[in-house]
Amino acid sequence: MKRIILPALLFSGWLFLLSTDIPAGENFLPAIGRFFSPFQGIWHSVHPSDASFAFKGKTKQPVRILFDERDIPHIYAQSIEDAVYAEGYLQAANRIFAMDITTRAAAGRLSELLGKRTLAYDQKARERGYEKSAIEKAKNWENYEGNKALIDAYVNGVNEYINSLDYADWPIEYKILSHGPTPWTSVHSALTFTSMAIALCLGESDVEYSKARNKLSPADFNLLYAGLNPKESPVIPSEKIWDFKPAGKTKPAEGKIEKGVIGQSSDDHDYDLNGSNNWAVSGQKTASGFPILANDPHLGLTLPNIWYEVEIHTPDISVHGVSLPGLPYVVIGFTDSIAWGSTNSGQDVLDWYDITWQDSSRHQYLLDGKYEAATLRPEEIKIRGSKSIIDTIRYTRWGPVTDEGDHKDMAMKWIGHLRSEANDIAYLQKINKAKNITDYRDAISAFQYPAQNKVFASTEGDIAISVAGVLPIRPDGLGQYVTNGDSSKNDWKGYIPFAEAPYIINPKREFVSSANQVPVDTTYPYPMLGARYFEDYRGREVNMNLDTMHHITVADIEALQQNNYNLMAAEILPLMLSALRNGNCLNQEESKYADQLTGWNYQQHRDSLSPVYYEMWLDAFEKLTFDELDTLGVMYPEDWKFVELVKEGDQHHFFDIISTPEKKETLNDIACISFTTMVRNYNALDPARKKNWGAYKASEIPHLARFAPFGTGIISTSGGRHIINAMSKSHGPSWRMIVELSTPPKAYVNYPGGQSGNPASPHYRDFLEHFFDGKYYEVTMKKDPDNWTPAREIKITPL
Amino acid sequence: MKTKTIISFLFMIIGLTGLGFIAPWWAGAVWVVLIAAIMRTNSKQGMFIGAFAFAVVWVAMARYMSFEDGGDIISKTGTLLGGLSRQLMMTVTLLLAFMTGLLSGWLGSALGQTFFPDKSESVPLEK
Repeated sequence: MKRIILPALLFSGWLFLLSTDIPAGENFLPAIGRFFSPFQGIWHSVHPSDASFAFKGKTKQPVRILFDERDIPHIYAQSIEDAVYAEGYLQAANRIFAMDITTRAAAGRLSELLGKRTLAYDQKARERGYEKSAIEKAKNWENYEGNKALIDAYVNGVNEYINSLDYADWPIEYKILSHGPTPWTSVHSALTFTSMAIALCLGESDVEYSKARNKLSPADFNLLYAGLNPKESPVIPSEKIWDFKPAGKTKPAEGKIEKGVIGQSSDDHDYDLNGSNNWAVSGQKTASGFPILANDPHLGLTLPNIWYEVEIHTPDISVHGVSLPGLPYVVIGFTDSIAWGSTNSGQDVLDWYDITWQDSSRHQYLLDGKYEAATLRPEEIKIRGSKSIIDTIRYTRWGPVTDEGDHKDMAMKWIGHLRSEANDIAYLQKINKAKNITDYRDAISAFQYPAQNKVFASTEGDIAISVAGVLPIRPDGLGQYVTNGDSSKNDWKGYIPFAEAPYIINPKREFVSSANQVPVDTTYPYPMLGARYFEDYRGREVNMNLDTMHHITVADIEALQQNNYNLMAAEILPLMLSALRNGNCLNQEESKYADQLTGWNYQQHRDSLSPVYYEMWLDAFEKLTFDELDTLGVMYPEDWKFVELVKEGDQHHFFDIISTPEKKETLNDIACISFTTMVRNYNALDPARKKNWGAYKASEIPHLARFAPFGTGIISTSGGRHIINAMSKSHGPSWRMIVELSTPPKAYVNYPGGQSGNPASPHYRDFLEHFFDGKYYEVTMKKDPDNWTPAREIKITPL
Repeated sequence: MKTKTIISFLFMIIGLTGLGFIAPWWAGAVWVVLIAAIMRTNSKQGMFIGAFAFAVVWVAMARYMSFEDGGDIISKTGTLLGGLSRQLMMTVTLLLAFMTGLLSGWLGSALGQTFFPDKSESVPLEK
């Protein structure tokens, strides 16, 4: 018996060791026994199956899913419930890890999977109460007729896939993390909505504006931040007459609007964000006589792509476009009668309210002269490999109070929390089966999220654009800065009624467009607060092009979507070069750089070198000009304002460098010093980045969970900030769609990625090269499943 | 002796392969324990056959899968795991299989010698 003890101990110890995840810093090495098993582990993941198959599922009728050569599924079902069941299954089969990560991020549950390294992110999400409102939202969906059956069908489809998985079938990322997917619920779908709302909630800089106002003289503040660009070309053209009086106009509570915003940290918004474009031209302007609609929504790019392309056919619906994994239906696409698309309106739908606590316990807060009890909600944050943390979130009249940096002791009032009673599903239901302009307007009246510019065109010849979504009405003057939370008078007074929200149908100019610029001019009766980082250059450039274009073809629209003309450069670079010449300061080498820039055509093409010089110079120029703001920790003004300052020249004190009190620098001095800095910085660049704009910008599309080898690595791309082709380092066009509204409609689409979420699949990134070469895939709907030959097929038969 | 070794080895190979497709990864280890015990291998035999069988099956399967690795997933995963090359990933797989088989074979032979003693071999020793 004794002879067994040692081998038994070693054997069981060895198996235990190989079955245990091993902490490695803030990461984990997966349990290596199953991970290295060639039958189940990572070796097993190298070749995903793309065979046809059939299974029994929770559908009422048989469902056929035919895949074309790009692996786009065409779902043929007898009811919408069966169709979304299949869609849920397909999305999960191709994006389950992305769906999981996205909803965990919104819920503040990343640390359950990834450990301590995401704790700060989770704490922020919990403090902002995203999951709480998603739970309420999912519960409320059931109050609307038909929703429960639909959501249940979708959730069942997702879970059908999840339940079919054993370890050998787990997506690679799960194997690496040694943690499988968890069952999907309607709350996850609500979190998917929330996640998109977070991504689109770009229109607030309350703290930054408050800081700027507290730290700068009124004259400087007004000079830098007040007013709109006089060259603005709004989404809704000026021909639109607003024949109503605004509701809910009130004055705020007396006294200082914000208190105590004096921190030193600067604007932390992500200026890599560039923006989206959409437009529709009427048949009057096209060569074919049919309207053409185009849309390229710009988002942070990842592999797999945020979208999943799909085509759905039921007796009521025929639709093709991109779906958002986690939600049923098509989000941007076309039917056999209409096409629609979206850009972010960038409206401010989040206000921060400064809270006065009674004492350090932070249990009671001041409201209308007396102390009210905050609702305390303990949140347990589970951390993989560590003990859980309990965070107590305080809810006030305004919303949850955060404890984070610049927003400490401020309550967050946000559309995403306030509209939990809304029937979000209704918008998708209606737009997916819309047949005409009336259906389109009805559908977008149900859209309850941060405002979007919803563009539309139909085979009947109509074009339209609407600022859809929830637009709050505030007491006069509130919303741009941190708001005093001591008085209920400062609360929102409702929302702009749908009929009064900006929209236009069939305008005289025969096109509608948006590129995140201001939605309306100053004649619009309601004040509109928008994002300071969405400027008007792209909007102006789109409108200038469409104004002058006639007999437009699809090829023209493709070229416009990929237009690399830098309008801001065209406006500011001649001014900068003029100041440089007046400064008379360049040596022979520097003159060569200036000559190159002088001859630049403002095309920000990836093979061009001039954009590198321009961007580096502009950066140095702006930093030197706004050294005062950097010292104070105050955000920079919008770029159009910088152009104005440079145009107006030395009357502004900002061109004086504050670190040299003995000398008063001028615009010319700034031009010279920054140019020299640019040349020096350029020469110090890594040789690989010196080559051209594409190499300098060094775009890359990272893997969703930042597993570097599963991303693209460096890719050379054209375009950039303030350019229609607004491709920055890793933010850019997530989907390009052009639809000619012939009968039937013909579409041209592409996105940077591929249909599969599996890095081992040939469809993981097979559109990528095509995409960055500016090519599109032609799509016409395949309504009859027996009329074409699929690459493969999945059949679902009822249980 | 030779026959027993070959038969044990073949049984192990068949079981490891079959169980690999349908059972958890550790089921193969249990199978080797069982075969080594039933076949009443001695310790050295058990360790040698178990390690060799396990290594052959895992490496052959990994090698086969690597031919299918058009996306270079193994190298990319190796990079994520601290910069392991494809060859090192294969080496780790080999070592894990070898050690698992070795310990399984050892335990199996110890169990076999304890619970199914081979009387023809043990009688002379007791004399």
